[in-house]
Amino acid sequence: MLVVADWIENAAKELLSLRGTAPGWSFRSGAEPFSEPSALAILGLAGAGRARAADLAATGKWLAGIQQADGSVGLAESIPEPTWPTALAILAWGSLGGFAAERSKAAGYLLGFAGAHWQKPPDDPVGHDTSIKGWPWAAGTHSWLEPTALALLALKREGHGSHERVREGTRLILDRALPGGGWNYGNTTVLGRELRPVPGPTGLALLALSGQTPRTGALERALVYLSVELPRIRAPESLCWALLGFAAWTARPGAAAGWLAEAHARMRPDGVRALQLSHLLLAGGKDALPALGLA
Amino acid sequence: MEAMTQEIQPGLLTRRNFLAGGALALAGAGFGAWWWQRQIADVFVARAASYEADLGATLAAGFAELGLSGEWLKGKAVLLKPNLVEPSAVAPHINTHPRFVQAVADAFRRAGARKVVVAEGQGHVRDTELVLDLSGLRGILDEARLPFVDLNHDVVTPVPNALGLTGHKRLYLPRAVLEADLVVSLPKMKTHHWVGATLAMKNLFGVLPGMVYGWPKTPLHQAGIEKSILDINATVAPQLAIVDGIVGMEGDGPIMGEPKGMGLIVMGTNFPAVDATCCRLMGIAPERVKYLQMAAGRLGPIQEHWIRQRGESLSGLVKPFRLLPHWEKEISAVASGAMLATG
Repeated sequence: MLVVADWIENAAKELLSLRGTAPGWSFRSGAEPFSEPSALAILGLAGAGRARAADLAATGKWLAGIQQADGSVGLAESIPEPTWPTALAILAWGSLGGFAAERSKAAGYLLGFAGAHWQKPPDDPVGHDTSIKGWPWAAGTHSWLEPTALALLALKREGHGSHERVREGTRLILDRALPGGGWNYGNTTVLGRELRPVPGPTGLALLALSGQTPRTGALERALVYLSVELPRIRAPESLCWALLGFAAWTARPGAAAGWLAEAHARMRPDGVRALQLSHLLLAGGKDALPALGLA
Repeated sequence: MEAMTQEIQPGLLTRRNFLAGGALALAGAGFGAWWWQRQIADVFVARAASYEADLGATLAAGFAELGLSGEWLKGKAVLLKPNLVEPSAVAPHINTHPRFVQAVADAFRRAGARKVVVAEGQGHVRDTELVLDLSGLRGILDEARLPFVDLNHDVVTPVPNALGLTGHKRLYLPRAVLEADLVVSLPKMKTHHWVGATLAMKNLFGVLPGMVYGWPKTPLHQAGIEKSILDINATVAPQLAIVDGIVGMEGDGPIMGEPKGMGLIVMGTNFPAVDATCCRLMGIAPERVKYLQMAAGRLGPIQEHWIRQRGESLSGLVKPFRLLPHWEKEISAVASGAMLATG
């Protein structure tokens, strides 16, 4: 019988070993570091308090090294675009403390960066308001739920919670809430059919809205949806965001520690383990919400 | 320049050689004609009553009918690309059935493949592990000891866009795709609310990595879904399509539609020909489906007289799929005035 502390210790050890001697984490051993797994590993290890600050600072410095002149952070040193990982880099730097200049520059970039938006015609097949400005995955394309939620978390962490872009991003997330409860990647209805919610985006949306909006009907419906889904989820990324989003508005379920231990025990050997371990550590750590800049 | 009427010779040029050098040399004018335009293509259609049937025998028959000899399959690294776009435990007909994936993997293993991996870069749900759980594929992967590659999160390489219809000069491809000798598309036979039908060609959207193109892959949608389908197919150069038509999806596909029992497997090495045949079986006129119109003469034939039917004839197998109203007049074989396939 594995006790909870053991899986956290084992997960942290494995995650650190996956980086090896490289400055950051990748999706495959021996490949160049990528910003997403590197930032998430920092967040996970910092949130769980399982790595020496100096060890993580080295990866923070590597992220700073690939930051571009406009403040953005791309996928990797060799892949400067798209720049959606910029928000994750801000959160990672913030969890380490320091990196103030990099965070400020990156936040400035996010405030000036938006997706493509338009007034939709009356017969448009999609249900959401396409005119609300948020953040896209890739430059020049429409805004979606997850990059917008990550940008809101990062900007709130940097003290921009009352900025117009953050207020509009909050409106976007509320507008993309599914009528029946929860969120998905960012479509509500298409051709009149309501789409299905997904736990990960629902958790991220709840985190992004924390402290930004009252607990309205959309929030209540999302929490009801997650209260049903959470006990069934053992996929690390979904469990992480759903658990943290739920905890940000209510309380952490008592069974959460067991769910996380189970999720760790059933991880597939050939999965992208760096991402999965990072998410589990972030969700399992005592300092998860502070690591994300939330009380 | 090859004659425009030659038959397909599997393995004429290996994918890896093609992607390593061929695409560079052949991108642009003349490439499509040189490599893809085939005027006669074989498509194998077989009945398969259920996912519990002996699919292995059917697949082996398909290999034989398509001229895919054991020698050609032996020692190959095979990447199987199912469709797992947005799984839901309450709607298993969204995805390529896990038992179907297992049967195809077993068939390649029996044929002597060196390595068989399942890979997907699903377009809506970021969490691949959740996708594997909800689709039921995880249990099959464990049971069959099948490796899985998350194409949304793999090391990526920019490759010259072989057709360039979208304006994207390069397409980022995951290393797992570049390393494979054979890329095999395992789509579900489904309607699609934006392009009419989603089959072997559209399924390759899921080869492009989400971390570059997003969830959903908006840069491709905004450049034109049809153009993107052609660019991806020409650039990835897949070798084989095996369509899960045992239970398909009609109505509001690819996600919100209803199950449609067809009891069929469709196989072929030429993707436009496979998709055109599937359309005919679905009661859709392939000549009215825009991406198939565009593929005809570029990537392969879609006209019936250029497709050599192997296995079952289409006669008696056609079961028109319910289409959304905006597609009914547009592509329905009956409503558009096209003839239903009669064999």
